[in-house]
Amino acid sequence: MVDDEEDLVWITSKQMARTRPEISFEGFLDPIEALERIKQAPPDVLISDVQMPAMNGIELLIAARRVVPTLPVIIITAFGTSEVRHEVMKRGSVEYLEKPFSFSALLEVVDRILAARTGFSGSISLPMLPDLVQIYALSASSGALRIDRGGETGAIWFDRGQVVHAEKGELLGEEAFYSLIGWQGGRFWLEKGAVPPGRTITDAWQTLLIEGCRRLDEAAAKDVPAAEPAIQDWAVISRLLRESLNGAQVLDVPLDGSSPLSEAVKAVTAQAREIPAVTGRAVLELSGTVNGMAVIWDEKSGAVVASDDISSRPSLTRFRSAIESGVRSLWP
Amino acid sequence: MSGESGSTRRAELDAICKDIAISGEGALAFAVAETESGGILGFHGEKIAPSEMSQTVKGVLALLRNPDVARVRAALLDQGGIPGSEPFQELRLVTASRGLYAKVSGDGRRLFLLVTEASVAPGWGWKEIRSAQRRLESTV
Repeated sequence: MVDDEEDLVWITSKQMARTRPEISFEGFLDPIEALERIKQAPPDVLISDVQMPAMNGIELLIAARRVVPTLPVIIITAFGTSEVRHEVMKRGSVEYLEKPFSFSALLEVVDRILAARTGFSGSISLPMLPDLVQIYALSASSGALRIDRGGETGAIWFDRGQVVHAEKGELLGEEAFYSLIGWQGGRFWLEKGAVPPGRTITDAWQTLLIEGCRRLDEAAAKDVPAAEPAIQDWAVISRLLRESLNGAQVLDVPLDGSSPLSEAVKAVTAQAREIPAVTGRAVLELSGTVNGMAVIWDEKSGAVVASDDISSRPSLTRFRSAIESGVRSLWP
Repeated sequence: MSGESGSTRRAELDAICKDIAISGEGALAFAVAETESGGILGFHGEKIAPSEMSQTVKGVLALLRNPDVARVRAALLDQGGIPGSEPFQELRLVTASRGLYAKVSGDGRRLFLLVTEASVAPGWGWKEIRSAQRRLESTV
């Protein structure tokens, strides 16, 4: 955890030691010192403030991700607006907690991240631009955020947190901004204090992000066929679930009616497809007071059935977390 | 119940459903329904039509009662998994575009149903529907 508020780091450290003694928690007041430590011993989760002297949260995030590209990050900050936060969180790989936050809220996020990482460390996506733009804006920074994706380059300029200019190839201003926001992945770096070559953007950064995210939604909707996972992903998901669910039943069931289980799963999934909220492939999870069942199905390649005893809360959380991680890897 | 008091009651429950649906980011609709008839007692939806919600309620109830679910459970039990034989009272369906959370009340008379964007974390979805259930169980 990196925060220049010494009391917060100290209290979190004490509470973490008391409630999660199995977690090794290290607190830092100085982000540069924290970065050195990350290089020596990469953590499983980084919790960072945004506004800090010497290095702000976004610079630390970028520097830390250069060391550990899939490092989960929790940013503790005040938000611009809940609408922006929601739009960004939907797509980003960074979690946000608004100050002041309760320790239990922090713990919930940490637990979720650690549970998701068990067996799924490769599935955490790389940072996306909406995350970076939001953090840069919240930290009221000035400079350029430069992006390189396979030889294509672009940049977004900030002036005290406001987006003032963007360039991507021949595109300038808002169109360049919206085009860059659609890039999923790439290399990012900050040029602190860089002066924009012009001022082509006047809209508030919140407006730009919401519109950018809306365009991403529309593009995603048009890309549905392309987003269909490859068959090998389907084989991977059952392996990931089996590894993560430790002892729970995970069965690959071909939906060809060749066994009583296959026949019954086929009948259940056929009925689930009648529910308007469901089309095509889906995960169905059913639970009672002592047991739980999940069926993940695919029209072509079959179904994976997982079951678990969910009578205890940690087990329920683990079950759902594993299913969710599996689904995310299937439908990125 | 007279027609007027019935419509007042419906408006009151719709208002509670609206309060629940709009208080959560990523929530698209919330409904409370009778498990016996499938009739909707209260509903509020953004981007979800009442007719779609009505079909969804019927589909969820049919699925929870589906004997094939018991067959899957029995087949799994034969293979050493899924201990216990309690009926399922919670359901979650997630596709690439939407999440659906359903929960039957403790007395079995009511179904609570939350539709969200698919990106909503499952922990949040369950928390939201359980909190709505606590709020509505004393009312409905």
